[in-house]
Amino acid sequence: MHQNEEELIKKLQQGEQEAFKKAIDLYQNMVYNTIISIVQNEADAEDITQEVFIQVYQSVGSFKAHAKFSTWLYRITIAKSLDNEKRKRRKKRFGFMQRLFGEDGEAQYHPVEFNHPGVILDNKEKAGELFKALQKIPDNQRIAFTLNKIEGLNNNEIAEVMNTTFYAVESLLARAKANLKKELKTYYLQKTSK
Amino acid sequence: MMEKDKNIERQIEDAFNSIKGINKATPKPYLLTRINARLNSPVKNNWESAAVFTSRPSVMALGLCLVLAVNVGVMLLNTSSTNKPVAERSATITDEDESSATFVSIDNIENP
Repeated sequence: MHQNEEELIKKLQQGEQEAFKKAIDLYQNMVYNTIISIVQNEADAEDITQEVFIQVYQSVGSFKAHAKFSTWLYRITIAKSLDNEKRKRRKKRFGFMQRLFGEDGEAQYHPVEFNHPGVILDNKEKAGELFKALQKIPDNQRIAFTLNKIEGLNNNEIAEVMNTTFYAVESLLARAKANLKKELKTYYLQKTSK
Repeated sequence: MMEKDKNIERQIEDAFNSIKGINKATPKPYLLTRINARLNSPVKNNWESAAVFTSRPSVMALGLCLVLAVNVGVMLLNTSSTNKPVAERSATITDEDESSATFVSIDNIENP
C-alpha cells in the first residue's frame, strides 16, 4: 500500500476532519463516475455518492489493510449502487399502488434515455444505446464491464474488487460483450423494421 | 439481407466505440458540505420511523381493508352458525357444558 494512502487511512481512523476532506477530494470522481454508470441517473448518483462517503466515515475503523483503500471504496460503491437498483425495482413493482395512494408516486424512475456526462457530443446517441443495453444484462457482467470500460481497471483490479479470479473476470467480460451485442442487435433490428 | 446485417454489425461496433476515451463524470461542487450536513442531521429513531410509515396513505388504506376483511369474516362465520337448525345447535351442547353451567336466579342476586 502506498505510504500516503496508509497515512490517510490512519488519520481517517482517528476521525480527522481534514483527512476526510482529502479522501473526498481524492476519490469523489472515482466514486461518482462508477455510480452514475451503474444507476444511470444524476440525482441518484449524487445521493449515493454522499451515502458512500458517510459509510466510509462511519466504518473506516473496521477497514483492514489487506486490500487497497480504493478496492474497499469500490466495493462499498458497487454495493450501494446495486441496493439502489433493487429499491427502484421494488418501487416500480408497487408503483401502481403508490400512484393511487401515495404522494410521491410521480417521476420516481429514471428516464429511459441516459447520457453519461463524460461522453463527447458526437457519441451521445450511440453511447445512450449502449447504456440502455447495459441495463438488460446480469449485474455481475454489468459491473465487470463498467469497471473495465468506463473506470479503466484491468482484469486483476476488477478481480480484487469483485472478490473473484482473473479468469472469472475474463469470462464475465466476454459474456457481457456477447450479451450486449445480442441486446443491441435486437434493438437495431426493431429500429430498422419500423 | 447481407447489407442489412453488415449495417447492424457496424452500428453495434459504433456503440461499443462510443465509450472509448470516456471522461470521468464529476459530482456537483461542495460535496463535503452536503455530506457534513447529512452527517449532522438528526437521526430518526425507530418510533418516529414507524409513525412515518404507518401514516402513509397506502399503509392506512391497507390497514382499513384488513379490519374490514376481518369484520366481514367474523360476520359471515356468525351468520352461518346461527343459520343452523335449532335441533343441531342444541345437540352441540355436551353433558359437560350442562353440568358446569350455573344458573343465577333472582334470589341469588338479591341474597348472595
